[in-house]
Amino acid sequence: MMTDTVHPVDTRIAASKTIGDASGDDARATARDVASQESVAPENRNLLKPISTVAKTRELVKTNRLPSMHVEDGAGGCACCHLPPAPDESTPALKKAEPNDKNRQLENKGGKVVDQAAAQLAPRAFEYNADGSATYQVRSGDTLTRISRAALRAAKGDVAFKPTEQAIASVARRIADANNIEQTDMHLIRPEMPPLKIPKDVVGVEKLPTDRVPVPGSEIIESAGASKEFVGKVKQAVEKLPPEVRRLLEESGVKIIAAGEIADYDPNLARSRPRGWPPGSSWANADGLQASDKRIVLVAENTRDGSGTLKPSRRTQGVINHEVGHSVDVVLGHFSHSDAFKAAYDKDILALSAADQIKYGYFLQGKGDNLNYAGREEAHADVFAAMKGASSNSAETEATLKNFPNSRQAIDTRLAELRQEQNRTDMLRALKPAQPGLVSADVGLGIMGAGLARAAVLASAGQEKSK
Amino acid sequence: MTLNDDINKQASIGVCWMEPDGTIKLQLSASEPGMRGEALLVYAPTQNEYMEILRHVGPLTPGEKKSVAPFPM
Repeated sequence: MMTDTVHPVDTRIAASKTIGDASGDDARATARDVASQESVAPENRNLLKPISTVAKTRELVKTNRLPSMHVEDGAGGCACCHLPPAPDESTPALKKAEPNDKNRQLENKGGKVVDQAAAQLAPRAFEYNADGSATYQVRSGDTLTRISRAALRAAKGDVAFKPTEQAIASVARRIADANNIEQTDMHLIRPEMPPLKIPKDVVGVEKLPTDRVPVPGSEIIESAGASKEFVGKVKQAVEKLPPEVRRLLEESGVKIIAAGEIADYDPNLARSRPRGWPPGSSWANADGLQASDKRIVLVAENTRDGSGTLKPSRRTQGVINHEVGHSVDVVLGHFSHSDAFKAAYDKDILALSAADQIKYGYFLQGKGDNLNYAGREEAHADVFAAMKGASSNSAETEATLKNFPNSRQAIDTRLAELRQEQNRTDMLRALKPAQPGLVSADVGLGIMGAGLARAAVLASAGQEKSK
Repeated sequence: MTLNDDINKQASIGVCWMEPDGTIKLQLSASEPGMRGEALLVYAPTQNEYMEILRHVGPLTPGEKKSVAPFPM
């Protein structure tokens, strides 16, 4: 029977709840509670008698509005467990109950025991090394399992992350191997041990961005921590893009980065959770991104799965196409916001079946709000990707082309216009290579919308005629 | 055909589907100021997060595709 009553075990749960921010006085104060209930040697427990356990528990629960989390067995004990739960670093810090004279006296007597308990409750701190590995100073009460769980949380940048048992076991083995700990002795961690080495692939997030290196033979591709094979794959994928698109990207200063993983580009970004994504996920799970303000398209060789393990991405071509689709949209002055694309997109989505409306809900988001272009931008990027051979989910390439024929036509028309604009620029450049007016037309073609670029070309042609 | 108003107004972070073995795949897009990103998250039935994901996306049968509403932050 679940009850709302408080029983002694709740005191320890309450104490464990400080772990998420157990620093300074709060951690020490709560540690005193733990010490006073659990850690004091039997011969010293008489010291605790003046304060009622239940009264103190009620005070903590009341102060922090905690629910009772256990099942009372009718005799003041807990029917569901005999041991307190393991400290959970994901729970928020508690407010400390106001001290009174009696527990101030006890605080003074707690001494060493209190300090030890406070140390156990403090968050596990990893010291990061320049190579991306870390060291960890073992403390009392540590086990490889707890250290591994904390390392996975640190790698994720999410104290609420709940790694799987397999992931914890895998990390524990890697830490044991790196520190010559016998497999049979994995749980015997001692505070007097030298600091543990935590391998780079376990907590390698506190590193600097990897240097970006130009890829020979390409004006727009750079490499950041990716393997030679992957860079070659990206190069091939970029070569499959139409020449007018590659030229547009180059003239607009867009770089395509072949990265080992997102953390190679931005370690801090890799630790943060994108808005609306599932708990425990982060940008490290992404295999592609497009940063319009930095003129960057990034494709990652590896992504981290739910357990934090690096796994190769299997969607390279589709991801490059999709992110390039976003980038082309931006450098063409947000073509997906234009009347021409809007009309085509509206025709396509009105022709979708009810089932496809659910399936493509992602492309339809914000349809009712003229200020929200998210659905249209995503539709543009994925139709563009499908037209270039693979949408972000390659299995959907054919279906996307079939269901968005008008959007496809609109993109085709715009790319044909782009080719004409580039041809005109080349022609004028060949006629008068040194004329300053042509230089501005050239720049305009790269970064402005079609109308502006055409006007610049016509203006240059007019100058030619008048001479 | 007119658009379903519920879908029309709903925010979405991507699409999900279930594989024949029950694995749930989430093809997600991230949208932050000046930045977009893509990911394919895979949740096998043995993973801790599986039920949480299934509860969020709602009933799903193998082969069925659905839009994914944003998770609470």
